[in-house]
Amino acid sequence: MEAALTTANLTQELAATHRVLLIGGLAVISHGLDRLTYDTDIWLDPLMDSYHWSEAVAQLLANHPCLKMLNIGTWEPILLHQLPDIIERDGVIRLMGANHPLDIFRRPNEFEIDEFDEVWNRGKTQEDGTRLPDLIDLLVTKQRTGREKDIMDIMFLESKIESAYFEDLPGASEARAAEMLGRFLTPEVARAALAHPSFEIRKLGYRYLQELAAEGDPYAAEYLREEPAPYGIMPGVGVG
Amino acid sequence: MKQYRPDVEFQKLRYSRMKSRSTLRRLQGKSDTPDPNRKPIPDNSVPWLPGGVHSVADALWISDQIMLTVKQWKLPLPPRT
Repeated sequence: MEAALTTANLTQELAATHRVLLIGGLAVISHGLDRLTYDTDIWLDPLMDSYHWSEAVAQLLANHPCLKMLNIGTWEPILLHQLPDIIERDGVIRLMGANHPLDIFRRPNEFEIDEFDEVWNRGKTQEDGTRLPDLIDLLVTKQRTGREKDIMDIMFLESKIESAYFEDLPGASEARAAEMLGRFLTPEVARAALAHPSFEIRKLGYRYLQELAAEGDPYAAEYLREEPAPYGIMPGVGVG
Repeated sequence: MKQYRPDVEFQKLRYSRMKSRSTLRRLQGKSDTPDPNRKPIPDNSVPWLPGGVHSVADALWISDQIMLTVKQWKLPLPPRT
């Protein structure tokens, strides 16, 4: 009889042979939000194709015969030979049999398979061999899910990233500031860019505010009414 | 490179709520800014794990502790996801 199987052990076992990124609620907890979650979500290296990916999962199942694969949503069992087609279609499966459900993604929300490497490279290695995605990558996975529970995560992550940006942006070089704004943009961050020493970054910040306001963001529209336009840009809403 | 931008509909909701709170406080004769005569309360929360989270097991432990605490206080658990 197998000793009580934990998702933490399963994840560590996978991480010993494959690249594993922790996503979902546990990743948000790891970044500092105290909340509970019932399942463990991981992004397992998509590998060459869905057949190689399925082999990695099949190895885990062979090591632990008590594990069962389920379709996400319908919760119907998945047979091993069905796995490549199902993962190609759904991008995720659920493993049951450990102390918590383990959701294994090949293609998580808002990311494409070929983006795994860059998310992996930006992530932070943990003691168990998994990697924790950076705040912005994790935030991206929470976008457009239409789930109420993600709103709290989004607000926490946005706020944490904004705090870091407010600290780093004023002293960032022009290139670094442009890169930062190119990756994460809120009206508050665009407004903070208006105080950057570089005229180019101030212009970029103002243009971004105009873009956000044109998209319908009410905060950006309000900031545009309050902030003077940098020299050479037409003030007000509308892309300059 | 992908650029994260907040969802516009959610921004409108947040803005509307912010404006509503501000209007209500104005109608009640209250200020929007903190009272300078009151002592600000510092962050007094204690982290579950003082050294932070270093593994999936650590994160799961925090989640489990929260669930135990919620049960201990007999609070309704959030819907299962």
